[in-house]
Amino acid sequence: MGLKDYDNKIIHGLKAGYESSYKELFKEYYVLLSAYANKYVNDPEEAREIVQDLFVHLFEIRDSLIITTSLKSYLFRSVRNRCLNHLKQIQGQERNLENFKPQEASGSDSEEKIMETELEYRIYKIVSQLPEQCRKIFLMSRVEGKRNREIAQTLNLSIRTVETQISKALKILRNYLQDYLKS
Amino acid sequence: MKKNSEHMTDEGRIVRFLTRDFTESEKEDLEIWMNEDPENRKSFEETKKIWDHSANIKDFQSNDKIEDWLKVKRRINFERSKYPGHPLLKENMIRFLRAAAVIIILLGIGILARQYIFRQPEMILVSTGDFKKEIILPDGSQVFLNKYSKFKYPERFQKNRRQVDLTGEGYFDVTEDPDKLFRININSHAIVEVLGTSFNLKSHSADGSVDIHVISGKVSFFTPDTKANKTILTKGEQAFLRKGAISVTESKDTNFLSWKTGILNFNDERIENVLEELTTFYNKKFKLKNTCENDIRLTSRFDNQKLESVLEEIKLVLKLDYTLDADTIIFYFR
Repeated sequence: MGLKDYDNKIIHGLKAGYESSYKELFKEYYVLLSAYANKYVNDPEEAREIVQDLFVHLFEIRDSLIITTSLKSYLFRSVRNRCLNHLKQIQGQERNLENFKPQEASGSDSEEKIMETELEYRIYKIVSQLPEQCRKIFLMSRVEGKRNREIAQTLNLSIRTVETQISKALKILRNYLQDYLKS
Repeated sequence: MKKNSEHMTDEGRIVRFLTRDFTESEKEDLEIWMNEDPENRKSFEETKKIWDHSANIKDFQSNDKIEDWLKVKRRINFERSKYPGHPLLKENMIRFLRAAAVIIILLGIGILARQYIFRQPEMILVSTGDFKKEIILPDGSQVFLNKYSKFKYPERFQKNRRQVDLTGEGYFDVTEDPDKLFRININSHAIVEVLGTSFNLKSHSADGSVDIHVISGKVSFFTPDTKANKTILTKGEQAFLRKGAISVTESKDTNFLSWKTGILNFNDERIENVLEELTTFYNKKFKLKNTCENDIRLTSRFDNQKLESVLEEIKLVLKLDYTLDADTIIFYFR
């Protein structure tokens, strides 16, 4: 099934109000969109709520839903607008509204954020499929921010092994991510 | 990718740098290595990009929550959407309604089950009025009802018989089923039983008369009084019930199905009989006046013709004139 067919199928389901379609959309995009939103609002909790709101909104307006672009860019754009509105609200609460111009502030910036988010999402996906020990060490290093020595001690391994596993992870990632690394 | 150090792979070199586990000499070594070949630099930059971004995957880990779907689902409430128009109902109101709905459905199932399992099936009553009507019965039998007829049949037949009621006129094409007798009650004073055949049945509630013409198969015809002595009719036979008595003749009437086919056939038929047929067919009164001859006969075929064209034809063939007012047609000699 081509991307377009997939989009059409999902959009049809969304318009019809099928729970299965909303669930599929959620599975496919929730994590990605939440991370994207977080790049704007810098608050993971808030970011997830913004995306949840979008899903509810999609359902509420399903009868009049028109998507002319791809489903993906529609979703990214919607999330971005919601984030900017959210920021505007916060700024409004801080009585600082005059200088805020979201439309000008975004543009290529949003493109870059989408690219980053997608790259990171791909990394996340690939890492979750790395061999057990390799994944564990890589996550300890990158997510927990541990030094190689600490990792070696915790797992009772040599520092050299830790280095080897990290470079193995990076090599695999670089291999799989060639399309995302251009530019 | 080129190697210029025998004890270190390219990735190893980069990893040392990225993980800040490098000595000053190793850092210089990396600089030299990158300057050696643009490919090396590219390799380093790509790896560093991955390295930097991979710190952010914790966002994804914390976002990967299928339980958030439940939050969304609760807010959307897909079930409710099937009955749109009351978004203001409170959650517990909906819960109450849901419970109530379950009870009602269960009750409904109970009632239906009682109706279906313990009770006789629902009877369907068809009253044709100004229109003819075709009905397909639950067993596939076909009934073609004439105007101003009434027909009653069950939504499903019982196990061992097919029972229907008729008032007026109907053509029956009964699906053959040797295990299930097909039984027609006519104004509850005559009964027709068949296994599978086609026939035309006509009753007049005014005088209680019944005419039956058998087209194919075998039919038994009787009244509640003659149950013990049923009249059996076969293909091409007709029977009349008049004043409680049944008489059988060979079917000469070629027009008993005219109400259904729209075709009237007359083969050297006396004008009185022709006019009688026309009376029923066109629902008009026909009269004959001033005729000295008493044996005028017509041979003709009218196929779904309008009354006017039939009248004109009779006028021409039999050299009769006619007058036509609202309901009555009078034929007379010129």
